[in-house]
Formats: sequence, C-alpha cells, structure tokens
Amino acid sequence: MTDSQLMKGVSPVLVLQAVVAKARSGPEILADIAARSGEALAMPQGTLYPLLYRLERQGLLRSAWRASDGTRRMREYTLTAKGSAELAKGKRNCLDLASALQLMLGGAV
Amino acid sequence: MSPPAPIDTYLARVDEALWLRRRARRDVLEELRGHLETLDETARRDADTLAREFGEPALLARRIAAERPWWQTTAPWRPTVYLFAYLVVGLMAQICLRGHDADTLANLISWSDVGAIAVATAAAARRMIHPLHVVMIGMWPALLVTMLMGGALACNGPASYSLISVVLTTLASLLIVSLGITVGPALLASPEQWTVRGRRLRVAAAVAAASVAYLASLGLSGAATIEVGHGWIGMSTHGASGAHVVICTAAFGALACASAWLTLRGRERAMAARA
Repeated sequence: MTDSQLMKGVSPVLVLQAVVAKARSGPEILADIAARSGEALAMPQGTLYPLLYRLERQGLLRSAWRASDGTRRMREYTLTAKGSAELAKGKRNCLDLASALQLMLGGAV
Repeated sequence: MSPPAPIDTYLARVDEALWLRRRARRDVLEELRGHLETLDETARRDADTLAREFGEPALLARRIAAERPWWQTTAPWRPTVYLFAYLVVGLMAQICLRGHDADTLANLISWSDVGAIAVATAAAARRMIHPLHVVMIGMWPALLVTMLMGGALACNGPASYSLISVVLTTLASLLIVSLGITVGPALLASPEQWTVRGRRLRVAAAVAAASVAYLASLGLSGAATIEVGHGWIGMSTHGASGAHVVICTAAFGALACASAWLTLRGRERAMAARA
C-alpha cells in the first residue's frame, strides 16, 4: 500500500480517472482505483468525500442521486469538460514525475 | 428502546461536527450512509470500528464542511457576522427614519436585538447555528447600548459612570460567553442518542440558559442606566427597558420553546421512520 502522504498529491487524478468511462458512486470509485492498481493504490475511505466535494466545488465533477437498490441511495459523480482538461494535465504531470523518479531511483530498492 | 445501529451512532457523531445547512447536511449524511452500508459486516460491527475504517467522525465532518461551497456552511463565525450586520443595518435604517439622539439609539439597538435573538434561537434549536451564537448575539447589543450610554455620559456626565458600565458589561459578557462555550454545546450534543425525556430536558435547559443570558444582557443595560439616575439620558431608556425585558423575554422564550418542540417532533418522527 502506498504511503498516505504520497497518495495525497495523486488522489485527485486517480478520482478523476475513475469516473472517465462512466458515472460512479463513492464506493465504486474506491473499488475502481484499488482494482486497476492491483490493490497498490488504496485511498483511505474517509478522505474520499472531502476530495469529491472539493472537485465538485472546483467544477471538475458533477454529481446526481441515483437509487442503487431498493432502499439505498447513492450519489454518482461524472467528469465535466473542465475536469477532463484537468485530468489530462494531471496525468501528464504524474507520468512525467513517474519517469523522473524511475530515472532517479530505478532499481535502487 | 433498542440501542442505535453502529451506522446511526457513527453518523450522529459526524452530524454533531458537520456545520452545514439543513439540506446540504442531509445530503452528506445520506451519501455517507449509502457508502457505510456497502461495507461488510465486520467493518461496521460498532461505531468505533467504523471510525477506524472510515475516519474519526469529527475530523471527517470538519473536512467535509471545509470543502462544501461557502453558502452551504454554517461556520461558527458566519451567523454572528450576519446577525451583527443585521443589527447594524437595521439600526442605521431606523436612525435615518427617526433621528439620532442617544436615547432612541439605545432603544432601537435593544429592539433590533429582540429580532436577532429570536431568529438566532430558532436557528439554534434547528441546529442551523451553534447555541453559543445566541448568547454572543444577545451580548452585542447590550455592549453597544452600554457603550453608547458611556459615550454620552463621558460628554455630559461623570466619566466614572461610563467606565463602570463598560467594565461591568464586559465582565458579564465574558462570564456569559464562557458559560455558553462550556454549557451550550454540552446541552445540545448528540441529540440522536438522547432519550425522549432527556432531549426535552436538555433543550429546555438550553432555552433557559439562553433566556437567562438574554435577560442578563438586557438587564445589564438597564442597570447601567439606573446608575445614571436622573441624568441626561438614563431614566427614559430605563423606563422602556423594564417593559421591554418582560415582553421580549416572554416572546423570546415562547418562540424558542415552539421551535425546540417542533424540532424535537421532527426528529422523533425521523427516528421512528428510520426504525
């Protein structure tokens, strides 16, 4: 599992990436991130909602209620146009950083 | 009565520290409830396990409230600023309409206080603002009135009166606000976990405490004018203050009780529906 301080910086990008293909609720976003990273990137559950609300406030996400089953209501999040642009920028930054770290630290573990 | 489910207990703890307006708060809690219900049984065995899994409730609530748009929040300072602005604007408007002698000013400040206190109490009973704000809002006009008296006396009477009244009011303000800080939140904390009788007692006690604070603040401005005796400004203001205190406290108490009662009824119905 990745250190929470390291996760903080990349979390917005991960969340935006998780809702690119389709609208997802909070638990689905966490599950998607964990599944696609092979459980290596597990966000603490409590950090998700403050982050989702921040991204929504910044206009990067949009949300709406949907009934996920008979009784439980879930709010699902979709990416906005501004969110797509921000995601592209965030992905570029993350990949650049990953390449630089690979050059710097590659094979040093 | 069976104990509340772990999710209810956890959400009640989040709710306590969630300074959001009613609809925004309901949305957040409902969304969190939906998420918590997806956790497996082991993770939601009790509220403490949930807190370990999902985060410490008060911290989570503060983080969430900080990320919501400003107009959805009821941050502790905001209602005070709104109501103080209301007092100042109302006062200025009335000064323009009615003249600007100090006697009128003192009465107008006090009457504006009635409106502010009534609105604040109703809001506190519905948990839109903190009970402490009612006390703080109640203190502002008293301080203004007394300082106004003091200012007038400094120009027209013995300077010691102004000093005494300002010192007295400041000390009483500190005392009452300290009381509000310690007693108010404790009285109104965790309403979902109270018994029906306990809730009624606590709300009644909170209303009584706010009433006493209100009385104290108005009474104190009256006391300041009594000291003036037959001075330039004292008696007429004090004459108005006596009836004012009785009528306004009765109106304020009735409104606060009605609001608290309606809130309790609403909560009881919500709890019954949830059960």
